[in-house]
Amino acid sequence: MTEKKEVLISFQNVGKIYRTGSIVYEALHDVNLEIMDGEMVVILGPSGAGKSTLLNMVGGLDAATSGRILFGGLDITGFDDKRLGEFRAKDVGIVFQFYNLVPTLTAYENVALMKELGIEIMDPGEALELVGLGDRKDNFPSQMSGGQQQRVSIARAIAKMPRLLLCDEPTGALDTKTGQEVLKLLQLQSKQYGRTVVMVTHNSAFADIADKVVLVRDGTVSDIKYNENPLDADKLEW
Amino acid sequence: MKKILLIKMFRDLKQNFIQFLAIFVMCFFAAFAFSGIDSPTEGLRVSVDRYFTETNFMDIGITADSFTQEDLAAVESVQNVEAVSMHADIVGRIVTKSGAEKKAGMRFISNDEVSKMLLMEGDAYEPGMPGVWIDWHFAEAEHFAVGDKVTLKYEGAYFDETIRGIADNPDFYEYTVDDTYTEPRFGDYCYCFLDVTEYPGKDIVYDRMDVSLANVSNQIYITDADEREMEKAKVDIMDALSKNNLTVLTKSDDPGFSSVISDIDFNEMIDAVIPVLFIAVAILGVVTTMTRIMAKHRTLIGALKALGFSRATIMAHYMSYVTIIAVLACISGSVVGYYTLGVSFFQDTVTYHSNPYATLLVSQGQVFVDIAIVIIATMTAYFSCRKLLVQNAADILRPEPPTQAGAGPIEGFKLWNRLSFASRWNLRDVNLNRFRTITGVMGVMLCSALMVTAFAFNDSLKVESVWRQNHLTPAAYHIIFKDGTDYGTVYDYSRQYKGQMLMISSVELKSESDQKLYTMTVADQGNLFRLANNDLKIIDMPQDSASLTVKASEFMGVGIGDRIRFRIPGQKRWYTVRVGSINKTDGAQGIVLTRALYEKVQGQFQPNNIYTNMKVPHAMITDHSEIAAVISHEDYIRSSNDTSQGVDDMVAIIMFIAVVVGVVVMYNLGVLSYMEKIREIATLKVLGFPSNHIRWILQQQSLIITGLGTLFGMPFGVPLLHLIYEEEAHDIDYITVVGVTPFIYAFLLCFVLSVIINAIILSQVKDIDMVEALKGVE
Repeated sequence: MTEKKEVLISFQNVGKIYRTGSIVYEALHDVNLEIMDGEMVVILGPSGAGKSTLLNMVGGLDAATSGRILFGGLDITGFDDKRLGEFRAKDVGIVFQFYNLVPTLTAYENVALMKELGIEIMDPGEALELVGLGDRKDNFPSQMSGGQQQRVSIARAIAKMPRLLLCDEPTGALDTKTGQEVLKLLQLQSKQYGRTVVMVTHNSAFADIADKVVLVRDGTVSDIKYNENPLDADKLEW
Repeated sequence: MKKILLIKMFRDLKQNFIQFLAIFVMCFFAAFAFSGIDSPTEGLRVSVDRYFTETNFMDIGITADSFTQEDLAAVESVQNVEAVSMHADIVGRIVTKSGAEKKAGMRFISNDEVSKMLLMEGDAYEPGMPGVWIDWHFAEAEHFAVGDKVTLKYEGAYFDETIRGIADNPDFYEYTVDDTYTEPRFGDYCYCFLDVTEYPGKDIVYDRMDVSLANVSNQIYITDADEREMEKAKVDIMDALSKNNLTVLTKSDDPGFSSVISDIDFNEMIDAVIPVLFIAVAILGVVTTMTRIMAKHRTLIGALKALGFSRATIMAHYMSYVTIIAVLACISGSVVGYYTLGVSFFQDTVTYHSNPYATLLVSQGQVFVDIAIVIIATMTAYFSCRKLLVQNAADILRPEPPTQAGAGPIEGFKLWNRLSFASRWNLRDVNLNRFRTITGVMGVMLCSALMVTAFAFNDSLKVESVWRQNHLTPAAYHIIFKDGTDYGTVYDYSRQYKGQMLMISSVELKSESDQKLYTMTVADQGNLFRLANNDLKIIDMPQDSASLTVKASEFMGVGIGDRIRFRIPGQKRWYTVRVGSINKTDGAQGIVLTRALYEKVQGQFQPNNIYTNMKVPHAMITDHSEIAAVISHEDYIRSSNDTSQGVDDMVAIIMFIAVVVGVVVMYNLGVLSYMEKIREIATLKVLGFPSNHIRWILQQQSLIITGLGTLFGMPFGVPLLHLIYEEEAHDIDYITVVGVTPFIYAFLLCFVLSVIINAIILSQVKDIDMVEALKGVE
């Protein structure tokens, strides 16, 4: 019997239109989607389907043109810049394809960055231990491999113990072996720590490790699939 | 250049508009400053040389109470004397068309061979010709034309003349009709020429001779040989004449001539310094911008090479960015400098100097400087691009190895761990972008140095206009007596007005190293004529020794305790005194003695000036023939303020340049820094950092750069000020006052500029497109 989970994120008729001069591009339309608390969700779709736009709107990096996005029951589409900043700082951890670490800060300092905002986070050294980089804490990003940088990025995201972890093609710039290690870490966040993890990818193989697979095509959700028994990331092959 | 690359170049220029604008502005100002100063200087050089050559400007000028035909013959017989013109100069009045009487300097001549008239209209003078030749400024101001009848007045008698010509004369290059004018006001009064047969009095009194020497043919460009010839002739003439109040001046001693040379020297010095400062900042701008473009275009350059574009083609393409910018900047800077700064300086020159040929000219130097700017900028671009372009295509296409991001050895100190996150981040960023930081610091240094110069210049002007009158001669009135007024008359006035008598006259100073003409001031008892030291503090007048002015001391190589010899021009006798103090004044340079000392060394005290605090009516000049001028304290202050008006423009120009340099450098580097950090800024925003917090982190770096720049730059403002005030002439000195306020103002202004400019740049943080900024571009 599966435990009944609460809805953490709810998309209600969400649309997104980009305008550049006279050119109008509809990136998303009529998106209706619910993501449960503690769920591991993979958003799949080809390039240009709108999956990253979807992710950016959950993270408050981009605003919806129409519809509502609820996070824990709160309508984040009505948040102003300051409130969105607070939302990202406290509730959301983001992992990017190209890591986006601050090059002039060491691994430890990149993780400790959130302390600057007065947010309570776990010990940065501990966070780095969790991602297997306890011995690289004094290295700058330029002194680390892509995989190590991505792990620092994950450490930075999880150190503040967010309710939601957003990952945009987190293995896109990594080799298979390193990519698998990163996926393991992300899956662990959901399975062990009960965090909601939403991962955008164009690699359909990753669908096997998710609780829920959202298929996006032509700017809308075309299908949603569920895995009763998600595969462990370390057994994944692609 | 390939057409497609040309299109690419213009698009790149557009994309990096701010950086290239900064290079443009710096090259522009280098050319602008040079052109603005050089064009009037070249005009001055060429036009004055032509003017003095055509008018055969005198090599030696001789004045005395009176000359006879025998004296003329004696001078003519001196070796190497080619020609002599003997004149009688008087000051009378000329009646204008409206019936007003204006002052008129009248020169009665018997030949027109030396310091000739430059005829601008009418008939050339021939000995014995009746009529009058009047100066062109006055003719223009009063609408006089050749053929008009004009009434002249001298010692109460009127006489009519016909205007035969409108002319100019080099002896009147910097002419004031009498001592009531402290600077030339051409058109306000008249100078005119008449034949000696038109002399209104009974017996003509010749008081001036202009001498042309056979072996001196140069005018502006006098050589050492010319100088030696003139000095030798001067001594010979002094030996040949024995006269009261005899003054023999070489061309170099002539106030008008030395003023031209001094202006040219000063402008040449400024011309050499200012453009170099701008070029230095431009070079830093070129290096910063081109290095960044090279890094940004690395893959593209590799691709172009792989596609078969030669290294030379790609090199020419990237160098052309800077070449085109520099060419445009130099052309526009030269043109704008010529028509703005050049015209402004030219106006100042023609206001105070009479020269019908005065003009602005483009010199060869302008072309050389413009070419040099373009070459320097282009070569800087070459060296910035070369490192990458010499590699082969495969190496270029490989990503550049990451740069170490630490702050260097400073991280080893305990203090490092106590620094805030923002400080550590900024210090590492500064270390990572050393060249950008150095450029920023140097730009702010130049800006702050110029600001200190401008503020201190302004302070000095304010002080200068009142200091001498308020502190050295704190008298309400100054009475100047005509030459030849006897002691008893001046003494009576001094009793009547309870004033202090002074004898002010020319003096020849002689030391072991030099011999020059200066001014001697012999002061009777009183406290209305005082001395100050180099710090502008009032000092006691030495009683048993003389005081030398700073410039006289420097040029004669004589200091306190040394002995110096002096004599009144025309007198054989030399006096020797010990120097007891050095005094600073922006007035006449020379030697100051007490009456007691002067008489002790057997000098004859002949006062010709009185300072008094009692009211002296201006009407005294007309009612008393022995009084040449009565000048009130207010007259002096007004006159000083009028004179400083032109210099105020200079202050405004320096301040304008300082602000432009500051704005351009700060804005350029601010934008560059922002563009380079945009991903980091976006990352911080994504992580939830509020915009104000991010702005504050970034502002700190700008403030540190501004702080370092002002700290290192401000001290240079003082030598720059002294450079501006540097006066080559031996008989002119200035006072400069550099207090704390110029530093405070410059410091605050630099920071205000920095904060405002960065606030403008960083206003974009709030609206940064996080998604766009974080798109993978690696």
